[in-house]
Amino acid sequence: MAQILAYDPNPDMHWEVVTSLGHDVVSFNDPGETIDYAQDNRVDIALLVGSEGIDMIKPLREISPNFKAVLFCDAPEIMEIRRALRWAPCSVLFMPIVKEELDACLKRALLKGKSTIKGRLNL
Amino acid sequence: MEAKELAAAKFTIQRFLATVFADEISPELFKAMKTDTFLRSLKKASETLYSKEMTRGARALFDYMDGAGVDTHKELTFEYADLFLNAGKSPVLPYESFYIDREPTLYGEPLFQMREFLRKQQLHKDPDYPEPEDHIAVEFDFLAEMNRREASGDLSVADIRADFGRRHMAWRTEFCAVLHYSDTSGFYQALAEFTIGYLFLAHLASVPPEEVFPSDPTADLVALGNVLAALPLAAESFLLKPGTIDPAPARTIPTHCYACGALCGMTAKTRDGVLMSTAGLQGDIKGGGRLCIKGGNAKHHVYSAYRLKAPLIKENGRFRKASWDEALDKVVTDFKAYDPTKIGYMRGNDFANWVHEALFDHLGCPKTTHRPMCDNANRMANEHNLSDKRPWINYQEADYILHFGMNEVITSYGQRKTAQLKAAVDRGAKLVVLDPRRSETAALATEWIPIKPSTDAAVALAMCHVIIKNGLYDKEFVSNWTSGFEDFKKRVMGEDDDLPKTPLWASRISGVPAETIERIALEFAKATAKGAMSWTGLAQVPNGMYATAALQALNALCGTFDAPGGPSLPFKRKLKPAWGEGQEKPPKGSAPKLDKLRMWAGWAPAYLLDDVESGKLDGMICYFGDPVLSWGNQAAITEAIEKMKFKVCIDAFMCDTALLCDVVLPDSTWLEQSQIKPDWLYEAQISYWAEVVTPLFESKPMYWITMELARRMGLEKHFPWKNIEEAFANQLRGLPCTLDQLKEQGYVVTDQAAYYKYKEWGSLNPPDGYGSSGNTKTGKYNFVNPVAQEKGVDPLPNHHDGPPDLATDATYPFHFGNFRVFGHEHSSTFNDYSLMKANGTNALWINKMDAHDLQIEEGDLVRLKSPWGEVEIKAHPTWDIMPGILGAAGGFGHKRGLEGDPKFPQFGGKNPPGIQKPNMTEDMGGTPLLKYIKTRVEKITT
Ligand code: SF4
Repeated sequence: MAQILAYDPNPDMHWEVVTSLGHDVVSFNDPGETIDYAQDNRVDIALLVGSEGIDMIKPLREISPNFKAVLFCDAPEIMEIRRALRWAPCSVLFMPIVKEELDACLKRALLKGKSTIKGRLNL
Repeated sequence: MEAKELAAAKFTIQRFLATVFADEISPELFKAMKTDTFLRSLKKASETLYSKEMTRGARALFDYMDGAGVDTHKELTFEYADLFLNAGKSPVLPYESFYIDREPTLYGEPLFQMREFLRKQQLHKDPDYPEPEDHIAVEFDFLAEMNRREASGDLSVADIRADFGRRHMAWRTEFCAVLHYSDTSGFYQALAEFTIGYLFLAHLASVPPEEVFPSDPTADLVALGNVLAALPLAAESFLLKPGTIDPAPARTIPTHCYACGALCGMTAKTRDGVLMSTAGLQGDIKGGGRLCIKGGNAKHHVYSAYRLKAPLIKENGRFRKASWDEALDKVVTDFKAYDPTKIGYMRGNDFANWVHEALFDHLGCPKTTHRPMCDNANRMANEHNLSDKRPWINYQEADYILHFGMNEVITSYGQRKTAQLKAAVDRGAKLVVLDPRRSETAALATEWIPIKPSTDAAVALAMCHVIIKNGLYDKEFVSNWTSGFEDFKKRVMGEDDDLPKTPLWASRISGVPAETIERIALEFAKATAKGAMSWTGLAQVPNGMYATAALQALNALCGTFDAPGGPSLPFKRKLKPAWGEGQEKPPKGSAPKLDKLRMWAGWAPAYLLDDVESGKLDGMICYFGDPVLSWGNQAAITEAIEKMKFKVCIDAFMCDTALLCDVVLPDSTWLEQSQIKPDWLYEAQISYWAEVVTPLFESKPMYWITMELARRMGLEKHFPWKNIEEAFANQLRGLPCTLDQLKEQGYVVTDQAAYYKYKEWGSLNPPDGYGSSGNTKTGKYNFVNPVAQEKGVDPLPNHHDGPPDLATDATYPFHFGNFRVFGHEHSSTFNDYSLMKANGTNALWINKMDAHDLQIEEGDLVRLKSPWGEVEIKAHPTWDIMPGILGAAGGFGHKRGLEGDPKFPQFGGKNPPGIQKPNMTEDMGGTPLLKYIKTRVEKITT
């Protein structure tokens, strides 16, 4: 079971899919609160939605250089995906979340251990 | 909507994507995409689709195709070569194995998963398709096939297809981003938009409709499928074949490493025909069961994502894909248009050299090799005074080891020997290293003695002076096994030139204190098991030949050859010719010797610009090696190659030289081809290289390339073998081992180590049937170089100042020298991701006092300038280099591959030796002066 931090600007977003995979999830709609939480608590991986989600990787990596993050887009734009890959996310996934896809992604990301994140691509 | 209708639409879209990513876009498909009907329907769809992402993709494709002109298709073939065949700066690496960790090594876990997936569906990849199973086109083709089955009524595949689509979605999304970033044509950017639009649409279609309401992805998919159905796409799977192929059994294969010239024994483990790991081969005389970081990471070399995949031909300054037939025909036709004696053949690699050298020697092409780039100055001494270029010291028993300008610990030449050196130091042997830089070996040493470049002859002669003056030399050896001692003694004592080579004299030249010289001379003479040695540290400076002769004289004075702990005389077995009974080796043509040095004549590559401008060379076939980065002044070598009318490169990667060539042929790496080779360290053995994996993509080994060239030139009768093993069998005739033994063990030791072999041989030269790289005409050690005598060159060692225009001065107060790092071999290992992670860039070493005077700090960007060029590089102030001396690791600076790929900006170094004086070498053997470049350093303040 992993400690998961989730951020989505949409207040209607719910993260049951994460709990249904057996993980603990704490979710926020405000970037500042999300970062504050990450500052003070153990987080194994962050799930971040949208363009603001990409922006949040930088402060999270300031907390820990190998902070793991999965990015989600609900209206994928290629320039945003390019920008996302500069931040070495575990993956860039589409919304709505598909449980099996998220499960596989989390398993692989967590398997790599605390200090290893995937490579970054300067796109 | 019917599931079958949706499946049929998805089939068409996926088949379209498989087709456009599998290969260059065909003229037929391009033409069909340019028709009014197709463009009209694409435009209409783009206006009516619900999904804005798919609308964007369809619109981008319409805009591009609508605006495409008559030359556009040709341009796309160039773009394809850049993006998919690694000709360009930012290749797209269309493999799931890359995206799984975003590390550019292929053939990872996704490949095996994909094979398993295909097996379960009774499918396999068409063996004629040269890409691996996790290529994006294969995955799209697999999905297309599943949809085809579903559309034709087999609904059982729906779950498999959906599951596969989901699992392989994320990397394809990233691929689109990379494609969009890397493309310069606009076409592949449009395809990237189109593909990502489709992937998102397919994603939406895969979740319950209520979750995506009010959008209707299935309607969009059907509309899109209808548009693409007008294109000439294959109805059946074109990358997959029916039937399962069982995984190949796991194997452990004895072979040898060829990442450097040390040739350590290796075991390679394979799984389903894929190289998984490499380790040392127990009992092998060179590796002694060990591999270094380069050998241990060989998998990342073979499966580097930057491998060249197909022959390339340059047109209008850009590369396009060619078939082997087209490329080889072009090479032969173009070659025939020139005088073959003006087409140089460069082989930087001697893998199976008996076959390719035979062809180009026969054609009369001037040939060059690694030798005049490396240690020819050393050889001009050792190969005539002694019997070999570098008799290796028997560290196992040595108690006093003297290294001049040699970084044995990382230069390697065999991991067994390196381990023995470290063990010797551990057990108390004294290791003394003279070097301007505190190299890794100097750091290991009992004593590091900083010395000015190109002054080693003075120190070695002064040591000889001390030994002779004190009567400490081995009189028995000197009188029985050397020649010219009295003349040498006169030189050392200053009787022939009024200049006694005393420690004080040497101290003034070298900067080494006279007391130190005296002390180490006495220590060396009095030690019981000892040896002195040098390598390229002395060769790549002006006085290399004499410095080598002077230090080798220490061994001769002390009779250390073949003594316990001394330099061991080589005696490797000679292979028989590859041409057996009734087979005729092609006679040699008369290749001109392009460059005449004082001791050696041949093609000295540093003079390339002179050779081209003077009309001696019109062209070049360059096999393995990167002249641009290694032959001297980079601008001059580049200019020379640009001026050539015929230029062909054979390489596994797009090196800087390949970039300048008209035809580039993809070479297999050394783990994809086989050879046998005699070798020695203290013992002698015959070593075997196995074809561990079949050549990747469309790459071919040099053996095959040579045979094909010979056939096209009508020379097939001289290249008669059914296969390479027939040639091996010929080479092994009369030798004490068989090919089967070699294949089974990887090596056969033919001769055990022995002390004082020369006493049994009656000569320092090995007997018939054995080989070494040199020959002493007297059978003894020659203090007076007999070949120098013949050529009217001073045959006795001495110190000589370098040419005045290379001396440091007020404007250029530093001498720069390049050095090796353990993690790289010349310029050949820079696409191995593991090695690059450890050594991804180089910096300029500068003494801390010098740096302080110039206000340079760690990491500052500086301009290194010589009168002949400049380079910008980061500074590394350190106490580990002498004041007045600069250094940097060599081999860096590639325009392509991992160093040039802007996606990985953390990698990439500079090529400082590229600012040396053009058309200049030491004057005996033609070795470039890589360690003697006068320079100045300026901090870049902007
Ligand atoms: S020293 Fe390293 S690179 Fe050279 S042959 Fe041995 S293992 Fe290979």
